[in-house]
Amino acid sequence: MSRPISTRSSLESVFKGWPPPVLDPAGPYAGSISVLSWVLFAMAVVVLGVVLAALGVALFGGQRLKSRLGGQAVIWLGGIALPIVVLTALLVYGLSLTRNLGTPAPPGAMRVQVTGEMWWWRVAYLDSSGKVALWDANELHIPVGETVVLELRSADVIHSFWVPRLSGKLDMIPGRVNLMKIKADKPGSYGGQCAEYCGGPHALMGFVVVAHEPAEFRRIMADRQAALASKPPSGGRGEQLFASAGCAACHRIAGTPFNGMAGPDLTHVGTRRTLGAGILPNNRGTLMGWIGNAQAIKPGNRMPPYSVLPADDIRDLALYLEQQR
Amino acid sequence: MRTWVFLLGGMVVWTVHFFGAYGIASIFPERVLIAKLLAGGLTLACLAALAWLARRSWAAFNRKEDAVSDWIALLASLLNAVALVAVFWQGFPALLA
Amino acid sequence: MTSETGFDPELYKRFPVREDRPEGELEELERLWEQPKGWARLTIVNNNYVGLWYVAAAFLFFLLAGILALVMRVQLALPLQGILPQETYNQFFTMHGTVMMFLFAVPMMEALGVMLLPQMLAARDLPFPRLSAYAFWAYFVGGISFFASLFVGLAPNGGWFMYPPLTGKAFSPGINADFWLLGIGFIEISAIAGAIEIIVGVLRTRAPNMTLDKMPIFAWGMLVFASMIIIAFPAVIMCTLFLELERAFNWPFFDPTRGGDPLLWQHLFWFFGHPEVYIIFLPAAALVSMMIPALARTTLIGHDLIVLAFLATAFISFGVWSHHMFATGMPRLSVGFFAAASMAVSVPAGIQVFSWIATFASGKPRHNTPTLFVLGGLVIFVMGGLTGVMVAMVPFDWQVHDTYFIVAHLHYVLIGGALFPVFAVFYYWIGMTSSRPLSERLGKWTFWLMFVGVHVTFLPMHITGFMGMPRRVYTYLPGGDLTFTNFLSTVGAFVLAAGVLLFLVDLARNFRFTVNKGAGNTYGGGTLEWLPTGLYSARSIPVVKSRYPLWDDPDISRDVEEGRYFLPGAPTGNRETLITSPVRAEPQYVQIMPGPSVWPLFSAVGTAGFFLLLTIEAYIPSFASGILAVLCVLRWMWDTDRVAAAEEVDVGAGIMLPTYVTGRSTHGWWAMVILLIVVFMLFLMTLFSYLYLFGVQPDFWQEPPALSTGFVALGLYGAAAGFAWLGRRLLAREKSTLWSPSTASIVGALLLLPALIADYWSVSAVLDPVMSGQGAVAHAFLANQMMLVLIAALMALYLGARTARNLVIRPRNNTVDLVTLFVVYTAVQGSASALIIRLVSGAG
Repeated sequence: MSRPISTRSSLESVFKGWPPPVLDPAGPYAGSISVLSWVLFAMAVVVLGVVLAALGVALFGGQRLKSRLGGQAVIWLGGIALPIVVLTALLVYGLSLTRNLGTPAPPGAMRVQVTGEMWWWRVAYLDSSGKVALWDANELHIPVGETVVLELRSADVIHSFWVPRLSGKLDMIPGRVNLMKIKADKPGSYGGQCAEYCGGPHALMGFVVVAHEPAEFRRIMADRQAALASKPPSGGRGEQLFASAGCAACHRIAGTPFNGMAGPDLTHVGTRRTLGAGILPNNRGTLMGWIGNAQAIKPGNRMPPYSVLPADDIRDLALYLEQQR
Repeated sequence: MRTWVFLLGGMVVWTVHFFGAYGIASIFPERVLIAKLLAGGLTLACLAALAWLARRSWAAFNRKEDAVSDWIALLASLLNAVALVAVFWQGFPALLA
Repeated sequence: MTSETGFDPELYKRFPVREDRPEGELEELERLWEQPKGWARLTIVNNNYVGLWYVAAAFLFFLLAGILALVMRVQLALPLQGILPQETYNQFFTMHGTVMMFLFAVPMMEALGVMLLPQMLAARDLPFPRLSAYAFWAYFVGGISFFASLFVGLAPNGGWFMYPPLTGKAFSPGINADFWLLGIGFIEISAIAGAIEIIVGVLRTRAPNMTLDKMPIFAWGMLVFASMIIIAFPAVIMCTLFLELERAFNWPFFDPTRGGDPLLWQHLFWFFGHPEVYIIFLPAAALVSMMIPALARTTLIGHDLIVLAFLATAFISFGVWSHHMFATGMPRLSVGFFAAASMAVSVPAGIQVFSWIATFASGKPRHNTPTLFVLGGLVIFVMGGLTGVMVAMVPFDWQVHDTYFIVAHLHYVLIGGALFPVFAVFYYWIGMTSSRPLSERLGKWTFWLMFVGVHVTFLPMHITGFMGMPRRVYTYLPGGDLTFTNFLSTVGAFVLAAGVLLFLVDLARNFRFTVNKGAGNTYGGGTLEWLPTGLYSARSIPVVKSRYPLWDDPDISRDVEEGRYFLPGAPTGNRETLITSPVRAEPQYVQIMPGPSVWPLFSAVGTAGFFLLLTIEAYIPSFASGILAVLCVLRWMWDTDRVAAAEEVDVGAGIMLPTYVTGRSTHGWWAMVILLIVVFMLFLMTLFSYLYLFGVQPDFWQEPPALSTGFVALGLYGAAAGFAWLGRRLLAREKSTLWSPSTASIVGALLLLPALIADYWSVSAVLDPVMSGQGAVAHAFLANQMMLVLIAALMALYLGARTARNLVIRPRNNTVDLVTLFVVYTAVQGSASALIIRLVSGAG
């Protein structure tokens, strides 16, 4: 059931047909919940069947069947004994599963800080001492087969972090840090979306988790570490525009003087699978569209429209950003 | 007033148990073992109280005074039984969570 | 036979009496209960009218919120549509949820209570008719103005559960959120007023010998409903108040950077919010339990078990609030407790479902519209209940929480558990208030359209949720299969709406209002509401001998109409009803009831004006409006607590009952005690908030003022309580008409003020309400107390005025009793908060 990685798959992994993501787990933390879901479905169907059958007999049954059903015994049996048995079993199952899912991650597990902001996600890979090693936004890379601990925070209002194929959701609450474990069993990109109403364009606050084979993952991270070293100015038009149009007030590109921290980090924007927090595929056209008028695409987001810039400037900016890999 | 206390006593015990357990879990969020022991102890105490209440209400029901008193005693007995099941379930997290 | 009050049950055997009633008695009764005509209709306080207005208003809000839902469904039919802009959509979904919950569901149940309860209990009216009228007008005026905020684009947009910090000043600077906070806070006050009325009504105005075991299920349902409102609604009032204080004065209840916590809101809100679901479901279920016996032509199987289910739900539903917070990262053990309680609360629902099935099986069900709605509701409710059990499983909830799965679940529960029963009620009870029944043919079409519509709309939503669509999104992206299920839901919504539209057509064609010439008992119900009635309800109040008096005593209707039971006339020459004891319904005294009055209407408009003008920050008009409201309330109170000419009257068969009673057995005392429970719950919620912030934000906890700084306040509170008590004692001894008793009571009430000031003085010297959550909640204690102290001061003035006009009846008097009770309570609560603020110490 593995899906090919493509720039569009992140969107498709959220919005695709059967099986829906909740029932199509890609890791152990979502997997056990998917099993639970099927058990609960079966329970619901059986109980509904019992109720409908009883109702059918009550309305259309023969006199003998009806008179058997028409007494207090049925209430004791169907309304008291049946629920007590079913619910006791479910309670034991649910509590044990909750406990198993809640066991702490192995020591030394990779940690990533994910901060929900109106209406995007700030990602910070932490080193072993807990300091920020790398910044990123709206996309999270993880190695396959390893448990990764996410420190979930919020910068403003309550958000909720949810990648249905990897785990259930957990809220991001101002003033608190919630820990979530995720683990992918196979490479792929897994879409997610903010699940707690956070105002304005809450509907358009998605992100992607990309799982790589461990070797591949370490190579990517090493490349990124290397890119932190300052690089000489390219002297290109896009770079000048980035400075003159004021992009750097909010955006950071590591290794350059552009150091704004209010908006998403753009150091590796060229490699991202999506734009606008998980809502557009990333290519030159969408980049230009986003720069020109992000408000038309995602109304209410914090990026002002740059429709005053001539089309050439926007194209050059897009070219410059494409190169940020 | 006495009628209502007699009728709802079981549910009052449930309330004490629930909020007690919630309080314990909130006071000791880190020290899970202590919380579990306390919650378990509270559960046993409440179950004992409920058993006593249930015996009492059942005895009152069997005394057969008049229709109204009997009915109230019956309902009290049933409520005590419901509370017994609910408190029993409420004790599971102390064992399993 | 045991007796509760000393009343001899043997006396019941005198009824029905043989002798005919005197000429002209019925005409006198009719004259007394005659309602004003023309514009003066607005002054009517009788439950037949107010109940119907109430039902109609609630139904209007259902239609309005339904229209919002339809527009939202159009927007979501296809991805990335622009029919509703983002901001408008966010206002629409907030209003849809808020209006359905606060302006339709709860008021509809309360309205049905006002309309049906007195008839079912064979009382002449509810015990406080003017309070019903006030509750209705406050709700109607407030609700309409609240809804109108949508037309000017100022409607709230933070979702119906209004989570801060999104709804705080920083992220919602406009007055939209204030509309929600003040509007809803105020509508809750109206709901509480109604609840007090209903509790006293059920416990104290039942027909003689309608002992608890013979009480109709609907009365049980309403008793539990109203009691739950009393316990639950103060939580939402308190948290809306906190958020409004945070928005207006920057008190950081929910700001984690200053020692508040956003989750405090969620705890308080859901402590109200989950019981709210049962508050809506229980009365509807009770109505189903009333209708099924008539529809299946048999007695209800498992009557006792249903009462058991109600009482158990009333308690356990208060232990499930955090299952809306499983995804907030609560400690695992607490999560477990809430999961277990969530399981337990589904057992009572199972009892009811199987009791209905058993009743259908034991009877001969008829194929008619109310039966269809009852059955359809049952199936839909069971499906919602089962998904409810699913989401009580914590890990499963982590996946589906805040997705369309939940949207599907809650609509199944509420539509099956409340909406379909309400439609069944419309068909079943329309004969009480309309001279023509509704059409069976159209009714069946209505049912099938609605039933199919519900499933086509909401069944696919379960899958939509599994596919990853969160709640409260104004659009979704193309390129996946979300479109299919969403489109289906939109089609279903229109089918459902077509059913409702057909119902409106039916209503327009067949509904003709009447009070005493109703189409009657179309379905052959066996309970007292089907006794022949006039404006005064039943002509005489029967002795109840079974659960289905009309089935078990074929002559009862005739005997009642000919006045052969209790209170066949108006012995005091006023509107009146019989007050009976709470358990065994033994007659205790005759209550004299107030008639039409314009003051409830004016005070409701004044109250609404106060809150709404406050929202738009028009402070002076707002306070003027508030003062007007207070004056109107006092004016309406002024007529009450008077003695009748005769101390005792014959209520039938030579049984003499008093007409003026004081002390703990009066309906007024009961109402005051219930009101004080509301006030106590407000206090308890503040206490919870204080301890909660102490627990989660210890770093911000300051050393509170020393205990000794509270001694002055404690002493003054003690003196206040002492004087109030002394006043009541002096009155009981006094033979003359001296001022001393009232003076003592007034001094007691007024001493509360310096006590509060002393407390505030020393608390505010140490704690600042803006600096920390601790300071904010400490000041919330004081603000709470200030409200009580002001009310006590008003009471003192009122008592003074009554004393001056020589209206204080001696040696015992209800007004003085109630003032004493209130002042003593205020003093106790004030002392408790003074101690708590000082004793919860971070250092210790």
